[in-house]
Amino acid sequence: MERPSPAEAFWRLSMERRSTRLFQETPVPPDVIRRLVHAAIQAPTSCNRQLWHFVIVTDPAVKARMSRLGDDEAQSYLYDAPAIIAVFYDTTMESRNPCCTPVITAGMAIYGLLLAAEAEGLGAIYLGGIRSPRGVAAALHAPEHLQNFGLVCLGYRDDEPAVPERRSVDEVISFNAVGGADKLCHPDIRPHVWKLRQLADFREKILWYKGIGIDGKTLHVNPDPRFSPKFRYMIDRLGMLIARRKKPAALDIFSHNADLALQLLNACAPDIGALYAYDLTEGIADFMRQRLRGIVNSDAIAFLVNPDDAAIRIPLPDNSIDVISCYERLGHFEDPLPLAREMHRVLKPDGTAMVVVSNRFYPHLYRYRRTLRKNYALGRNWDYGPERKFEPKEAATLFQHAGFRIRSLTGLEPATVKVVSTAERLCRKLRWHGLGDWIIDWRDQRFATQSWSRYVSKTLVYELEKR
Amino acid sequence: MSTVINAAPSQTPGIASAVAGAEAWLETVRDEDGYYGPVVGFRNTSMAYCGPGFDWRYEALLDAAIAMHRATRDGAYLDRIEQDLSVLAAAQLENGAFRNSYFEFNPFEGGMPHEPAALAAACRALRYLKKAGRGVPSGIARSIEFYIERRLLKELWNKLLQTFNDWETSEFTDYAPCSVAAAMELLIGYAACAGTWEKVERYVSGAAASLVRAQQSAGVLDGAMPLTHRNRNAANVYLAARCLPALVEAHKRLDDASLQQAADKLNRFLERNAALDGPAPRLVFASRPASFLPFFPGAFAGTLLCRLRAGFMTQADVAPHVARALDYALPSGAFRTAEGFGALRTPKAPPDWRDIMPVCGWTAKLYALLAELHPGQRETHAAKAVRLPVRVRRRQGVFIEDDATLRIEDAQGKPLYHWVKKQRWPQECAL
Repeated sequence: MERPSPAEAFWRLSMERRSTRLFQETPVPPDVIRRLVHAAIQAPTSCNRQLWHFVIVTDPAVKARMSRLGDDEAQSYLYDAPAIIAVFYDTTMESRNPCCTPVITAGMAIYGLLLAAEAEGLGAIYLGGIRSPRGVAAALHAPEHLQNFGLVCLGYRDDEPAVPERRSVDEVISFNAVGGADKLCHPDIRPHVWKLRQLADFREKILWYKGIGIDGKTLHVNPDPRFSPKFRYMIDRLGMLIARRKKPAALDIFSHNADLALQLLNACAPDIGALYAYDLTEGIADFMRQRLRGIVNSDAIAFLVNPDDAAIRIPLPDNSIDVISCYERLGHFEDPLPLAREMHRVLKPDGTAMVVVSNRFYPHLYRYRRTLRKNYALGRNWDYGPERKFEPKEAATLFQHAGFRIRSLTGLEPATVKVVSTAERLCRKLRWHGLGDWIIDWRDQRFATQSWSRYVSKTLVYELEKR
Repeated sequence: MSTVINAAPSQTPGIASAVAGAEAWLETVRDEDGYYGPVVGFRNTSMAYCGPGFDWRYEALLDAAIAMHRATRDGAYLDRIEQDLSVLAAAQLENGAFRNSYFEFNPFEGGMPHEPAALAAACRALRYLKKAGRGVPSGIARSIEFYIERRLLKELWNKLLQTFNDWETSEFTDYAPCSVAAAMELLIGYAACAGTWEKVERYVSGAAASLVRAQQSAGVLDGAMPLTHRNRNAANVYLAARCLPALVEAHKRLDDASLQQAADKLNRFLERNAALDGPAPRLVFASRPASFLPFFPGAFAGTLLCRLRAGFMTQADVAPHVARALDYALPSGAFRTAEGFGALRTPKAPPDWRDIMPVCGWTAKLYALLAELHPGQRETHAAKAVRLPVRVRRRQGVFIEDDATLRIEDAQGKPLYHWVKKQRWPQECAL
């Protein structure tokens, strides 16, 4: 067989490298690891300092300590990978460098490791989601001046990682001055101030970053959003709305991960006439299609895509849908009126739209917690991110302008639940366990409310019909 | 069901009659695609989704059918086993998990310990069918194998802890002993069916060791299996009991004395905490008084069944406890789900609606317990409609059930809940 030229070999390596998240148990031979590190230290370093250090971790007890102190206990690949390489660099000389040279140097070494792993037939992933690199350093007894820059998990591949589409060169290049970067880059962390194109791009990229088919293994990275009580409430209500109609057409709008569509298929497939899932790009639809293929019969869902970046348009005829669901997605738009109008247009005159929004009159404590922890990142769990919250009156006006009448408004998780939870904790301290049990029971039965407390609930659920 | 009566707890039919009643009631919630009905559970109620569930109800139903065939030699029970097995197999998804297998959290797939518990019972049923000279339904055999390969070993096996995870209740560095035990039972049962012990040995061995590691060894929790490996301050007596047969079976297979010792210790914990004629707490805490209410008779029956299966009790030992279990029988043939929901109520107040609401999974457990003690002589059951005063939150209400519907109304007769049996969703659900 003809040997590929160095250029061909380089290109093949670059194009074929993928992050691996499922590993076989076969250990990686030490001499292979040494070769990888040898490749890593060929990377350029600032002032030729070469002050890096690589710690190879194979002992499960050390992995466990590292994950505990690194505040990163939820990443399965940290345990599954037979070898972990912790990358350190001495930042003492360059701690004030404006271009962060130690970070760049460590990054280049890590990329060298990843490419070398690919060349050696191994799978690898750079783990940058560690909340406390200092904890990793402490777990590995690193001296103060050595800073940890993340971990590389290494092993023989046990998956076929999905291939996320890369941006085209034209999208990311400009000559002599920055041009066009604002089309996709985000000037602010709040999704609702983005342009539609930026929102579509972010949704698509974030969905693909972990690939398909490893959900079962990695759901624990974040709690499965389907288990949240508000998601379950939504499924229950939708199921009942669907069951009341004869083979209705149902439409889910912007289902994150296709979770809602999956649950509707699980719970009410025999009752549904047609199920549509509408989203912003073909890439998102493709993700949902592929994800569901491994779980249910995804042919039962028709995936619809917004025709262009200019405006929201659901590609369905007027008055064609019986039940619409939109779960926490209006908050992604500064002006959600066009989306609400589209929902109104496609809804049948006797249909129902169920729209869930976050209530601004609720103390969303995660904001303050994350501010304190200073490690906020808009990751896959962006459901809990800084998207827009609605005042009940504001939402009512929006629906009115779109042509809807509010049939019912239910509040989920009212603030009173938080208050009584505090009372319950007090009872436990005072050893009044009977009263504590009673409070818990009272609280659990009032998760969904239509009383005054709905206005101070975390989530507002609107059931809408056409005026 | 023509006569409407007010049920009194002191009416205790005999075992054969109660079994006939349970069978008759189960028929009212069974359709071609499974057993329907709302669920009231330990942690949640699933009143909206009433469609078929594929959770631990199948464990009890299959075990009950085996016991009934053993007692009566009636071939109809073998037919029922075959039918239930094929319905269960049809509920499997393409990732190996089962639709709507989370019991009180239905409709969700991937329920633990429900899926392995149901499939472990399916393994027992397959062995029984074979012994009875029936052909082995290939669908369920494939389904069990696929579940083990695709779900249990590929997704739930934790290489670091050498045990099985349960995503819903535990993080990656944690595990729930009752789920681990159900997975062990399944692997051991599967190995017995397929003769592939070598393939599963290391998983059973690792999981068994994790149970021993999790077991408590001091104070009131001595011998208990905690809710999760890390949450060591509390033990659910019913869920802890699920570990007993797994430990005993693993000991037989692995010949490891520490497993038998762990089983003995766990049994002593259950003896202290699971006497029907004495205290029967649901949750035992290390640092605060045990929680007795609500008491779930179905779950308690499950505890006795586990001890029976593990050989720590005989049918003669169980028999004295049965009278109290029969107290929970409703005239419809089903069993009341619980006693004591909505703590701190006055003694004269009617029971909470959740106490009365019959649930297929809990009724099936009591049915399975009674089937173990069945005298062999079948009886017929004249099912009666039920009308009972209940409390709905703090208000008066009425619970009404007949063959076709189940309703809860407020004092003015306004429906708060209305489910037409064998329908997936209720007409009304304002609970």
